[in-house]
Amino acid sequence: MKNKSLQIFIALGAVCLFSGGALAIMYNFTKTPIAENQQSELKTAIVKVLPSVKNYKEIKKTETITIYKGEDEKEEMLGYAVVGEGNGFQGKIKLIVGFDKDLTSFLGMEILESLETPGLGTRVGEEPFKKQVKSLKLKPDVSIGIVKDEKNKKETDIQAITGATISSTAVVEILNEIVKETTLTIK
Amino acid sequence: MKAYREFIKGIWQSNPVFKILLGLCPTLAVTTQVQNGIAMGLAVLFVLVCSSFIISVFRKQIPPQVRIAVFIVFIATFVTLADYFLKAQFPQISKQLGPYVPLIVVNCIILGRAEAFASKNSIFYSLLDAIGMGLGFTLALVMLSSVRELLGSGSILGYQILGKWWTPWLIMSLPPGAFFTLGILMSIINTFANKHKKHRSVA
Repeated sequence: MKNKSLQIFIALGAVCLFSGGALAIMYNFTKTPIAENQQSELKTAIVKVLPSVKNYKEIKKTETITIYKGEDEKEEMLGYAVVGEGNGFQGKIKLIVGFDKDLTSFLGMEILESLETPGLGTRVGEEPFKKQVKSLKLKPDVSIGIVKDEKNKKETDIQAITGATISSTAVVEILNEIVKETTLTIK
Repeated sequence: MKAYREFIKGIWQSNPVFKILLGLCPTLAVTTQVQNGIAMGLAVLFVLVCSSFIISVFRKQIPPQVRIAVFIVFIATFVTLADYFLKAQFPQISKQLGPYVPLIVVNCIILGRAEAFASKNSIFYSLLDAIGMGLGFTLALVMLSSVRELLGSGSILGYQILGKWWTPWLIMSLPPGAFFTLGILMSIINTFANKHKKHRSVA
């Protein structure tokens, strides 16, 4: 009896040692590439939403929103890139948008992280939806609305993606939060 | 001949998805696009081969009372390795698959093969069995996702195949589309398999 317990103890201990060791090794090997991926992802994302940006620096960070100021090579102010997050259909959605310097329109939007349904909710990160975001007119007192029908669409509205209304609404909520926070910060 | 049988059974006679109906959760969830199907299939193949190998190697040392715990620790280790690898090398795909990579841990195909095959057979046959099952799973995912991506978005692997005249069947990208496709594919395959069997028994 005692022998058997000992045997089980040793076996489980050995397995867990092996497992811990393998994971530690792999973690060490992938730590830098994963961090680099995230870093370069942030950089590519900022370049995508603020074309011709050369330098960027963080000017404000709250719990859900980080605001970066973007400059071109002559250190001329180009606009702002803002990372924001909120709750989507299945989990957190994290996205980045670019503003012109007067905050009248979005220069672009990229989804950084999301757990939305592949092929449906993830379409908020695809071109047709991003175009809608770019063509929005931002007005100080009007928050971005969401409509299902193209007919009722105003220039401050976004048309929800069919089959992904919740994801679309979530993105619009994050956008509104970003606009509010950014306006407060720089004005 | 036995080696060939152990290898081919996972692809055809006991295909994990179409015949044993295991691992249906990722099968239904990630097959909206072919690319996701392939990535998921290969991740499962990797975990299946590694865990079958190591379980087969230590099959005589693992105390039977705690064998399930040991299997799960091995499987979870390889899943986490695959997850880190995808995150480091293919961040795009890793993002698309989202939570379904870590969820391979609870995929019944892997625990099923460990318990039913790898813990009782030699390393060579366990490897063949794992490779066959993994390929069978990948094949099923590719078939399912091809149908769903083609009808649901008119494309295969992101290339637009069907022209503007095609109205995408949205339901194919939605969860019900996965059930429809799986059911129809399964009935086609089983009808075909039954005919084949009858034909063989006559001959």
